[in-house]
Formats: sequence, C-alpha cells, structure tokens
Amino acid sequence: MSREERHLLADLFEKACGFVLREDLTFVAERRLAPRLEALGLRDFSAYHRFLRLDARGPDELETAIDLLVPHETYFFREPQQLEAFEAEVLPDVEARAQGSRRLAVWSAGCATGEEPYTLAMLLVDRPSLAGWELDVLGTDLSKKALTHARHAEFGPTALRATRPEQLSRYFEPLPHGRHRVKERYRAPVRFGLLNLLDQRAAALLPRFDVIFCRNVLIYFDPATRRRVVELFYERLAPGGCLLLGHSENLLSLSTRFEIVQLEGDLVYRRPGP
Amino acid sequence: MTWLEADAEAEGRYRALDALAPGPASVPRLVEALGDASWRVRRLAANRLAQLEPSAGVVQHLVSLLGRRGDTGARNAAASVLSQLGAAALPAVVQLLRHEDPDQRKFAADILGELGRPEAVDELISALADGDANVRVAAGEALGRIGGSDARRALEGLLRAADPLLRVCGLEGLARLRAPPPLPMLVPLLDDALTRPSAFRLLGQVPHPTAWRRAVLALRKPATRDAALVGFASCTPPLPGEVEAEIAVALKQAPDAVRWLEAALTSGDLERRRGALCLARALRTPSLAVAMARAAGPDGLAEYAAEALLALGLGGARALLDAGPALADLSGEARAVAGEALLALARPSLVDRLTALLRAGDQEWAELAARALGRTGAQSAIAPLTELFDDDALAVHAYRALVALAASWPQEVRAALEARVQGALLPHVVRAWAEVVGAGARPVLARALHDERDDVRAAAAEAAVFVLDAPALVRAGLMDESPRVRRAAARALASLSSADAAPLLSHALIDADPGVLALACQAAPLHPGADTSGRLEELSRHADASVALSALDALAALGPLPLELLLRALEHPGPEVVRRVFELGADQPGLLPRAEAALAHPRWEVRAAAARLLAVSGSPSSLECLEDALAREADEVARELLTAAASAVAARR
Repeated sequence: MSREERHLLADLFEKACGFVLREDLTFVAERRLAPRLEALGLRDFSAYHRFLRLDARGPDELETAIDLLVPHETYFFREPQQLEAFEAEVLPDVEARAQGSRRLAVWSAGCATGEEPYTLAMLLVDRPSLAGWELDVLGTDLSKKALTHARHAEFGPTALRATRPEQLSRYFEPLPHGRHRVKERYRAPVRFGLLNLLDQRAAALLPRFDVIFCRNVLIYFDPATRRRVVELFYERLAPGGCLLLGHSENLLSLSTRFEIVQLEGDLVYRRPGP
Repeated sequence: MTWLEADAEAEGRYRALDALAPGPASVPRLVEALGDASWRVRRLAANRLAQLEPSAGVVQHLVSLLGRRGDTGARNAAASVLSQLGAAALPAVVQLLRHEDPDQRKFAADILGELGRPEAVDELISALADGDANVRVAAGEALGRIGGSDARRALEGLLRAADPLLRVCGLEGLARLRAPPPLPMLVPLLDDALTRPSAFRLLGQVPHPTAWRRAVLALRKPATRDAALVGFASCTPPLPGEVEAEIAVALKQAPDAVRWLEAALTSGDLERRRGALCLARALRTPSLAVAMARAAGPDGLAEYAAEALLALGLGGARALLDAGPALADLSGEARAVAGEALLALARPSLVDRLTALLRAGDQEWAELAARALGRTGAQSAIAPLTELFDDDALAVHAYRALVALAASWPQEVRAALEARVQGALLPHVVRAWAEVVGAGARPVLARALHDERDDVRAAAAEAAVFVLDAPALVRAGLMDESPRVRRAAARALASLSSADAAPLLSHALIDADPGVLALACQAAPLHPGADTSGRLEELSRHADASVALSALDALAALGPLPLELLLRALEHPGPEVVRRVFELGADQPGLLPRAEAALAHPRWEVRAAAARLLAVSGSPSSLECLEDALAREADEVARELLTAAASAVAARR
C-alpha cells in the first residue's frame, strides 16, 4: 500500500466513522484487507479505493473494511480505579437523583465486544442500593462482528486478564479451553445496538442516560470528530449525568459545556443540572 | 462523596476568553489570562497566544512571567507559549540563560530544547558548566533535542562528567540523536548501575560485533539483562547470524529466559517489546510464537513482529496453530502478524492443523486457513477446501485455493469438483470448474447460464473465457436481464480475441447499467480495432464517475488525449475524474492554468495530482502558485508533493 493509497483509504474511513488510519498501521491494514482484495478480485489498494468510492457495493464493503481495522480489543474490569470511583462517588449521586423513578440508564459507547457493558452490569446488579431498580445498560458499536461476539457473551483469557479469581467465579460460568460465559443474571440488563457515533439521525433515537462510559474510543478519532461525539454525549446525558473517559483522554479543547468534577479517585465530566 | 463545587466564575472567564476575536487586539487579555487561577483558562490563553505573531514586548512579558515564583501555573503557561514561538522567542530566551536565578536558567534551557534552533547550541554548551546541576542537565537535554556536530561533541564530553546525572544526560542525548560515541568511551558506562540502561540503549546503535557481544554478555546475568534488552531494541535488524547464535546460547543457559522474554513480549512498553522480539527471533523457540504475535501491539510494531515470527519457521507456524483459543483471542494487529506468518509458512505438514483452524468457529481465521491451504501445495488440502463452497464467505477463498492446488494436482482437484457440479450449482464451484477443466467445462457452463440464480449465471458468463465457444456464452451473458450477469460478461470481454470481442463490445458500450459500461470501457483498449473511440468520448462525459473514469483511461490507452476532451472532463463533479485528468494530461500545456487553479481544490488528492502535473510541466510562473498553495496546505501528503513540485519548478527557472 503506497502512502497515497493509505491516505485515500484513511480519508474514507475518517469520513464514514471518524476512525483515523495512522501511517504506522499500514502493515496491519494491508494484511487485514488482503483477503478482501482477493475476494473481490482487485489488483491493488488503488482499485480497492475506487471500488469503495464508486462501486454499488462500496458502502457495504466500507463497513467490512472498517470492521476489520477498527480495534476491538478491550477487557473486563479495565481501569479499576475509575470503576471504583464510579461505584463509590458517581453512583450515590446518580441514585439520589433517580430515587423517584428507580431507573438507571448507562451507555457504553464504543463497547467493542461487550466487556465494558457486562462489567458495568456486574457492578450494578449486585449493588444493594439498586435492588429492585430498573437497570438498563446499553452497549453500542459500529462493528456488527464485534456486536455478534458481545451478544454471545463468551470470552477468552485475554478479555479476562484483569479479572480476579473471585470475580471470575461470581460473574462467569466456566467453558472448555479456558473460556468463560457471563452469567445470565449479569447479561439480563445489557442490550446492544449498532451505532456509528457520527450518525446524528441514529443517535437521536437514543434515550437520556444517567452515565455514559466512552473509554479509549476518542483516541481513534480526529479532533473535529471528537468534538462532534462529545457534543452528542452532552445531548444524550440527563442533567446532572456524568461522562467517563479513558485515563489518557480528556475534553480539553473539545467542549466547555461540561463541568469538570474532581473525584477522589478520578476526574469525570458532568452535564450541569440539579 | 467529594464532588468539588463547579467553578462557575472560572467557566465564565473561560467562555469570555474563548469568545475573543483572534488578532493582536486580544494579546493583552491573553497574556493576562496566563496568570488565571484556572488551568483551563491558562491553557486556552497559551494556545491562542502561540498562534499569534508575537511582538518583542509580548515575548519579554512572557519571559518575565517565568520569574513569578509561587505561580507555577503562569510560569508553565508562559514557557509553553515561548517554546512554540520559534525564532521570535530566541534572543530573549537565550538572554534568560544568563539570569541570576537558576530556576529561570533551567526554564530557558528547557525552552531552547523545545524550540530546537541550532543558533542556541553555543549558549547551551556554555550552560553545561552552569553552577546549578538542574541547569546543566536541562542544557544537556536541550542539546540532545537540537543535534548537530557541536551538540554531539558536547554530549560526548558529558560522558566523562563526575556527576552521574550528567553522564546519563549525555547518553540519552546521544541516543536521541542516534549518534553513539566511540566504543571505548561507552564501555565503562555499561558497568555502572546508574548509567547502564542508557549506555545499553546507545550500545545497540553501534553496528559492530564487539558492541553486540557486550550486549550478549549482559544477557547472561539477571542484573544486566533488562538493560541489554533495551540495547537490542535499538538494533537495526536483522542481526548477523553468528550474533543471533550467541544470543541463543546465552539465553538457553538461563533457566527462566523464555518466561522472562514472554513477559517482555507482552509488556505495555514498546521498547521492551521491540528488544524482546529481537531476542526471540534469535532464540527461535516456537513456544514464544503467540507472544511474538501479541508483541505487535497497537503502536506500529507489527511489521517487525511479523519478520521475527517468520524467523521461527515451521515450528513457529505449528505453535501458532496449536495455540487453540489463544489464537481466537488475538487482537487485530496480532492477527495480522500471525496470519502473515501462517501464509508464508504454509507447508504440506500443516494441512491437518489448518483444517482444524477452518473448523474452529472463527470466521477470520477460517478465511486465513483456506488461503493458507491453497499455498501448501498438498493433495490432502483438496478435500477440506471442497467442503467450503457452501459457506458464502469462504467459498471464494476455497475457489482460489483449489485453482492454485490444481497446478500440482489437476486430476485430483477435478475429481473433487466433479461431485460438486452434478447437482445444484454454486457460483464459485462454476468458476473453479471452468478454470481447472478448461474446454471440457462447456456443458456445466451452459447449464449454469440458465440457472435461476443470477450469481451462478454471472459466474458462468465470467468463466466462459476458459472454454472454446466463449463468445456465444458471453453474448448470452450480455443479454441477461440481471445487471450482475451482464457485468460479469463485460468483465470477460477483456479476455476474448479482438475479432470475437468487437461486436460484443459495441453492445456492452450501450448498456444501461453504469457497471457494465465501466467494465466495457476497461476492455475497449485491449481491442483497438473495434473502433470504440467515438462512444468512449461520449462516455467520458457520463455522469457516473466510474464510467467517465474508465472511458478516459481507455482513450488514454488508445492514443494521445486531445486538450478539449481533458478540459471537458475537468467539469465532471467527481473528484476522481478531475484527479485523473491531471494524471493523464501532463503533456498538455493547456492544462497548466487549470492545474494551478486546482491547487485550491477542496480535495487534497486533486491538489496533489495538480502538484504532480506542475512538477513535470510547470512553467516558472507556476512557482508563485505552488508557494502560495504550500503556505496554506494542511494535508501532509499534498504538502510533500507541493514541496517537490516547487523544487522541481524552481530548478527549471
């Protein structure tokens, strides 16, 4: 793949979903897309770009290509300090505001293969103060393949690398070959949906959330896309609701609408409200 | 619950600053805001100031902020702005290097390092003798950022300093510049625990057997092997065979070396992973294969990891295929690396393992296994591949793999396909049958052309070129009611003889479907006697970009393109067409003004194509346009091409 071919493809991906195909990922992109070129009988990446742009099957193929290139790797109980802050400091505030409805809605945006929404469900379902509440954890991603995996709810050692033995036995059923399946009790409040965060019309269908998790997703976007996505989060948060980002991400120069709230164990962004 | 009260006042100040119109009038407010209590306000002010043309007064004011002891926020904000101002900040910051306060001298050295201006090197070299240790270290670090022969010599001088921090500073600076000192100067620093990691980092940059041997020796001792690992991360691969052999001997003598390497291969640290890949490649222990694939990580190490994994040979491929669920658990990058190795190392002895991978339930690995089976050249790969035709996603890979195997096993592949062409036909079975059987495939193709599924009819139309009476089958395909079948037939036109193709081509060039038209255009230059130029000219104005593009390409292949045609094509709304005009018309002086104008096109690829045209055809007067375009160009690739074009045009002046 020449530099110009990579740049042309990167442009398409970025416009479609905000994903930035960095130059240092050229080798990976070539290898991941090679079967597609073979399947389509195309001679090189220029022809592939032309196919994506001009062929009637281009939009479907673009979806396949993005699916192959956008990283889906994540794991259970990632960034435990932040999860502790969520339990100890964010949830009490959210619960206090939702006492009337006894309903809690959490969105895991860019959930990949589902580890994050299931982790959140595990934290919520067993929380005594939420007993009898209606819990709704939505995981969305733009990859159909990742969502299929997520709904399957079976995971291997890589996804479980930060899961402690007692968590493993409490939340999972063992399967052969070191794999584990999330127990039904923790699958129940989780639902999944296909969503490109840049698709404003589809995002408008989303309800208001008390908490939004979007960790290690914004890093794959360019600044303009990040701004759009952060605006979407603002719109979809209930007043007083919180946005939690990955530890290497922040809203600096992206949005001034959120309040920055320093917790003991983390920094979160809050939509102003009661 | 320890929510901090949201600072509404700070928010107000932030918004007010954000609303300021950019320009010189905003400078006093921005400078004032550098001392704001809110870090967000300070940050915004610093970013805004860095984008303005600074006056000497502003620079001096920023420098004075550096002296505000007790106001760390303002000092850091001022330093951040100064280090982004370039040459304008230089005199004042160099002056600051002589300030009586060591804190400010250190700030000055840090900022000079960030500025990266060679004019500051002499002053920084003088600062290496500063009375304050922090200033000396900051000056050394700055020299390591700026580089140049004087800076390099000064950093080498630091290697003899009494202060170990300065020695480390010298080593790190030289490592950053990739400028190792003479080996005798470096070797004593390998034995000092304080300087060891930096010294090994630099040692790895010395491309000499003596340096490598020092690193190999360090691998033998647990106390030094982590430092040696860093050294191997700096090596330019591949290492000579005898050095790899010495590494292997050293590591095999350490009982826990494999576990140590495995941990390094999967660590989050890029340098450790790179060093570990270099060593694992030398050790050639198959059990490390999965960890080596994982070492690819998300940070651009995939190609290096793939090369290292390939060095494990067949043993590595076996280990990957025996990894079972661990293989399914690999990230996208690791999959790319492991897949590359499996394709390159596919051999007959792997057929059983690849067949198991086909059936492991992971679609992506199944595709890879099908492709790899085709490369094994093994007769035993035929049967498992033949079973894949019922899987929509795998069938295409099975077809290509079987065609590849037919080069070695024609009768066996034919026999395996025979059963599949007896009953209901599938598209890739039809393709494979035609390619493997050739002329004898006629009855099956004829049957397929009347199949009720249009994908089967399309396969037959496209594969018709492998049988004797192809024109009749292609003609039938071109008359099909399904555009899919007509496109397949149009694709086949390229492989017919010109005598057979000519009448069919004329027919295809008036099809209603843009896909058929584009494919027919692509076939046209292969049959120059067919007199298609008039129709191709019409199609070069087609609203569908794919058709217009294909027609232009065809016309260019048939002969020189007239200027009027190119100018007309420039009116096409598709940027691909416009770009192609500049690629095809570099010999047309009449396109020069249009290329110059296209340097302002909204699409970077069009600007890039225009720049490329001007590089080979631009007149001296184009230089101004190119320089203007360069000044406003934000796209990296387009900038490179504009720079090259400007140089080329300037050289012709």
